Amino acid sequence: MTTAFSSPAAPPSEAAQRDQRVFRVLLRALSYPGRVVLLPALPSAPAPLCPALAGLLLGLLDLEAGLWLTPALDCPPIRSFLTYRAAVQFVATPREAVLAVVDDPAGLPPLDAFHPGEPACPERSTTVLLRVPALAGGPAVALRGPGIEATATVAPRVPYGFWDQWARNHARYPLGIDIIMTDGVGLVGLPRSVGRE
Amino acid sequence: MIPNDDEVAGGYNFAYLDEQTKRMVRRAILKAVCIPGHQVPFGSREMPLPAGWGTGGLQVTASVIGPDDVLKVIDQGTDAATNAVSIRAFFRRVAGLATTERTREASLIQTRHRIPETPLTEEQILVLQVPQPEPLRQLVPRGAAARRLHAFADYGVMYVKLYEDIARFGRVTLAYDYPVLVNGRYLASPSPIPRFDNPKLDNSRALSLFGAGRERRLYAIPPYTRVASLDFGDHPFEVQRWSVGCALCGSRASYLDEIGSGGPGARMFVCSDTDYCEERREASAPARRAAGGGRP
Repeated sequence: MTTAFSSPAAPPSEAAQRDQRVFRVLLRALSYPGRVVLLPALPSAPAPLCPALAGLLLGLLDLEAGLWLTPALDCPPIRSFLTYRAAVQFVATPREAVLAVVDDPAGLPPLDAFHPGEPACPERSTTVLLRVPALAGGPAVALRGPGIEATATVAPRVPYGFWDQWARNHARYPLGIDIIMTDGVGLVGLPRSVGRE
Repeated sequence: MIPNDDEVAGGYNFAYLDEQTKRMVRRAILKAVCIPGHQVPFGSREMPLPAGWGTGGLQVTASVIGPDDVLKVIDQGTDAATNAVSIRAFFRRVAGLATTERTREASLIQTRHRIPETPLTEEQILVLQVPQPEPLRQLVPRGAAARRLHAFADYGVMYVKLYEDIARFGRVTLAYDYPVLVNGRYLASPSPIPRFDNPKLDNSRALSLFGAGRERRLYAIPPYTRVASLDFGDHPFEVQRWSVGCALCGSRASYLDEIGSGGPGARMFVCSDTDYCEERREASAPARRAAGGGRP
């Protein structure tokens, strides 16, 4: 059979392949909340943006997804890196963000500062990418909800009061935000559907 | 089976969709997983096959799949029906993907109208093709009105429909696309799978993704999620049962299709899931397999 294209299929480009792998890691982290899922190797990004957050962002960003950067990350080198690599629309407040990036849990705005979605369109909520110092060693919390067979125990290093805020976020279900936590090596997904036991 | 070079077409992006579209679909899928059963709108693209032939499932698969995946495609339980053959060929052609007919070997299974009998694992993702994602469509034709009912979790109208069935016929007459309540919150269509398959969605170990291309909606049922088929205390949900087993493998646990078997009026019941049936027959006749009588 003759086809219009004679060359064999181009394998996916390196960037496309990386985006796909990162997406599968994200999908797994949110499908099985509480489990640590390891990220693939990711190229470096301009400091203070870590490769993990950069990789997650580049895999998800385009012009439709308003991005809010925590003030610590909102600097010209990072803005130009993201603008050069992806189509980005920066937004000024967490409320407008489809994606929000916070590199230090101490700088995390109150969870209700982000967009919780609308009753008929809960998917319009913010997804928060949160860098934590470690995914273990913090206060242990047992989680329950979709994607968890019985309970899942997580202990990320998050500030005091985070889990109370999370309980309020979960109580608004199906509204609410979703959080992806990373320590740079692994991911833990925290969808709004999951609550503290 | 890994496709050989002349099977694979050049000039296309990996898995047909452009990377920008994949990112959009991927964001919608992640939101869908966070809100089990909720229909998330997405910018459905023109695909090289008509809407109604699985364009939703196709776009979900194309956005999820990577070069390391092994794809299985099912149409009404069989890998050999038109829709399955053409979608499998499509991904071999535009992604150079390895495909299989064995449920156990697949990492991603796109399916139309059935869920495999072999229990899925945490390492597998099921993608279901959905013609009509809105379970209330027959009762509430306006989309905006239906979305409002979802927002209020007001599903009384569906219970009335089921009640009227019971009052008139003594049972719920839906044989397929039997509505489910996901995670105790959202009413969802399980897609036109027989209601026999509904219990497989409940607390499944695998993630299920649902794509409706024409209706531009996708939704998800994460693993280990409560999926309850609507029923009443005095009329509990029941699946189809048969008085006979499969004529080929003898299974009494699988969904059976009635097929003609030669003579006038002659008929028999066989497994709808051909891989499951084949596997059972191979297990019971190892000698035949060793002699090369297995599947090619």
